[in-house]
Amino acid sequence: MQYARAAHIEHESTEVPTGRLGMWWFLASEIVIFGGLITIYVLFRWRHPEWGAESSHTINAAGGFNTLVLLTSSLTVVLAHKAVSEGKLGEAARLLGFTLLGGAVFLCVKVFEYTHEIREGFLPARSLFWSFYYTMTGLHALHVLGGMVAIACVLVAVRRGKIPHRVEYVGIYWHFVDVVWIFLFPLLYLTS
Amino acid sequence: MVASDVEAGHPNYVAIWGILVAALIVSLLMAGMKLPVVTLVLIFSVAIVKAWLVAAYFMHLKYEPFFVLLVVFAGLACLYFLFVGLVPDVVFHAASAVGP
Repeated sequence: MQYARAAHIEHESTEVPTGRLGMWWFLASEIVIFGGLITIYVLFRWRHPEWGAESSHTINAAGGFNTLVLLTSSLTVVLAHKAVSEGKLGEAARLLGFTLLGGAVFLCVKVFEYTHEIREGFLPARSLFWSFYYTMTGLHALHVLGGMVAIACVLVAVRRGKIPHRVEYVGIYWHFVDVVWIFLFPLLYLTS
Repeated sequence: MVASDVEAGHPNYVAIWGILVAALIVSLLMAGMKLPVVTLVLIFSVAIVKAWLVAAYFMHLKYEPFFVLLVVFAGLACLYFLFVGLVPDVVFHAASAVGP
């Protein structure tokens, strides 16, 4: 294994720390939730090419900017994990703060988008496309919010010098949220 | 490329982030192309590469033991069966109860 790991309890049969293994099981269930939604959206999109016209009303610049924000926050959280593995807890706390800021910016942009779209009359009941749009992006935004709460809890603990290995676990979750957005962005914004 | 950039036990995360941002710019540029099918294939190919980079290097999936990969594939296998099960109903069914 090439990357450094924080010291924590390793599961005997799998050789994976129990906390990290638990996170991966959790993410496997999340894959089914988001993947199920994405799969059904793709199938319906295949059947309804006219959704392309609906998709053209989403704001590409806002979606692209949010992708950049999430990619950057993924970088800061993985750098926080690296800092923890090098014993630099202060630096890790600062990087986790930047990650939280990224999450907050993402949600602010999403609120701006929703406001614009609702004012234009693109409500969830307008068509199946907009139902999918609000369901998928709304569920994703809730996951961003949940991740921010988890990161804030870990940040407080790291500042007190406690449970630094949880930076890695919360980071894995945050990257997953990033991966989901990497697929939602082209599906809902770029395929008009 | 990236694997050889291992620094102090970690890959070069900033370089990977740079590749991800470059891929994002490529996606945005491709969205303006006038070839729908080609654009669609290219955009989703770039998305898959981006997701793989994040999973492999940021989530360290590349360095995880086989058991963790098995957990991930269990989730992906469920999606595969969902897709295969729904394709005939949603795509090839003559009359859809759900409109646009």
